[in-house]
Amino acid sequence: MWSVAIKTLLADRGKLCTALVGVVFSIVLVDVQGGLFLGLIRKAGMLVDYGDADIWVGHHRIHNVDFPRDIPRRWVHRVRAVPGVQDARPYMLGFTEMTLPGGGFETVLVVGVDRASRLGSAWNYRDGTPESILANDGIVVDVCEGDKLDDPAVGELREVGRTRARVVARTEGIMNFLVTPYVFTTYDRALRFLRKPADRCSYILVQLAPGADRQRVCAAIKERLPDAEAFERDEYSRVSVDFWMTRTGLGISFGAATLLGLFVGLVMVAQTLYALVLDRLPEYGTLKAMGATEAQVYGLLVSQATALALLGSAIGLAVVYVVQEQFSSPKAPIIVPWWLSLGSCALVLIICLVSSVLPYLRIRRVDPVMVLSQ
Amino acid sequence: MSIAAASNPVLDVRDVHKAYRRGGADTRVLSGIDLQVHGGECVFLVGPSGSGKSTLLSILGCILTPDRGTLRIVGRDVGQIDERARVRLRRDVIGFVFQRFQLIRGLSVLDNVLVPMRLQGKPPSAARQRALELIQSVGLGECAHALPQQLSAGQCQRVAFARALANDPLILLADEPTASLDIATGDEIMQLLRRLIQQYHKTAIVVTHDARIFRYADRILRLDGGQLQDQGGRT
Ligand SMILES: Nc1ncnc2c1ncn2[C@@H]1O[C@H](COP(=O)(O)OP(=O)(O)OP(=O)(O)O)[C@@H](O)[C@H]1O
Ligand SMILES: [Mg+2]
Repeated sequence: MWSVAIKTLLADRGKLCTALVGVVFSIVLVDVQGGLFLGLIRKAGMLVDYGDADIWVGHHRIHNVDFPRDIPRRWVHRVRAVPGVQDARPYMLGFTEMTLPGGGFETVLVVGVDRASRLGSAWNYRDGTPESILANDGIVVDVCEGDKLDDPAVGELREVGRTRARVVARTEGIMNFLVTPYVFTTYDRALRFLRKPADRCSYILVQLAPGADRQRVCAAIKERLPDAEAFERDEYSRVSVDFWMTRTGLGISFGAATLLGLFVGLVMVAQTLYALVLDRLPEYGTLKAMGATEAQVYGLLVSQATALALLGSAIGLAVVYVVQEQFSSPKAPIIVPWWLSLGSCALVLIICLVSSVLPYLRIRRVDPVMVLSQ
Repeated sequence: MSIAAASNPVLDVRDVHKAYRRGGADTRVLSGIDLQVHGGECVFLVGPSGSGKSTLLSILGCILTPDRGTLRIVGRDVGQIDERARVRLRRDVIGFVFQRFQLIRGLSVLDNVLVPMRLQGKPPSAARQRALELIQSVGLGECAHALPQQLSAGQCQRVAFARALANDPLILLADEPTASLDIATGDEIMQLLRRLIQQYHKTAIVVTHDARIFRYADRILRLDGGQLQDQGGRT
């Protein structure tokens, strides 16, 4: 019956196209909107995701990577003593101001990394190298923050926390969920920029020995340092993302906007398909008069709905891919994971199935009046 | 054959009643129909509009259940079998021809004729061959791949005949098969019907208003006031 399903579907080109547009629209909307959201929210955990550390040790009850609370630096030694820990380094994070050439200033988030290991340092360099950060007064900024920082060039002198700093390298795409640009430098210099005492740090970043169990090491660290919190990388990233999701209602508002748009798209699909089947009800009546079983008629409807959903999804995903290639940028990354694509396709398939089977339920029984006297 | 047929009617209707519920009140449409049709017979059903001809035809075609009375098709009591068996009966024993042909849009002549065989699950190549033969025998050999909207009304009705015969049913039920056609085409269609009945040895019940085609009937029955009266016929 597949060929019957496809041929009859193709007979109503106009309606078929409308339904297809609806499907494509729904897929693109969900994937692009969802992808933008994921791209945005993922910035909240970027530092952790790309930071190379296996475990982040911070103050007890810490809940966002960008808002640490100082801990004693001497904990580094106690963390190093935990079995399974290969390396542990202090890490500094704090807000201060950068003066701009025009006399203005901008709040920045200074990130101080350990000189030797450069654990948690910047990545994706556009100018300079990872080692550049070691140069005197060196700071690393991101080109995407150019408009906030007045386009700092490599070699340019600035003041960070009223202290002399020189731009030694630039990265691309390291952006914060907040409006404050990251400024990477060494740990010692960060202490100066932030005017912090030398016995403090924000985090201790841990690298595990090969084969060490993350969870067990985390537990061991917490046991030795009751005032500390130790997170695995992925977990801390998620905790940081959740912070923004739940505390700002961002998830809800973004989700609601997407849902509304999706609703429009799905209504369009449902309505067209409903009309398409309603239009053909007499034909289904004829089929039943000719001895089609219930299962055969459902088979026909389901194949049509599935064909429409599959074709629409394929086109939709192609459009999403093009949009992603064309418009995804470090500032507004569009991240479409497989489960989002799959989920949107499944949603569309369900809507197609429901809206093509629903009208048919009205004529479960063959209606002789409809069959014989139309 | 004719003796066996005479003793065993293909269609055996006894005391069938049917009423429709409309606006709270029951409208009696059929009140005590008795009818026996034998193999090879072509029976015409005539009567004023609204007299219940289509209703009776629907009951004969197992798409409507009578309120009372029994219907036997080739000896089987339709009232005693379940819905699945009724569906199979419709598919394998009965061929429908409708006034407006009811061909399926988007399917070619060949595909339309193939539909009943697909429903039956006949092997594709055998089905295709049979469909082409039937299309040939209704005189549409050239148009097997045409779409219904490219055909004239008379040609569409021919396709409908071919489709009705696809599963080699014993009984052909036709509801006003000539009502959508002009005189000449209607005549042609009836000649075709007679020829097919003879050629494939079918039993046919034809509902019609059209007095011009009465001469094609073996027997004419008039439905009025919910009852059938014999009006004679060719033989
Ligand atoms: N599903 C139904 N519900 C209610 N009344 C019905 C229904 N089907 C038919 N009727 C009524 O039953 C009566 C007989 O209808 P039927 O269609 O069998 O007549 P008919 O002889 O075929 O008429 P026509 O020559 O116009 O086709 C009519 O009065 C019709 O209005
Ligand atoms: Mg009628």
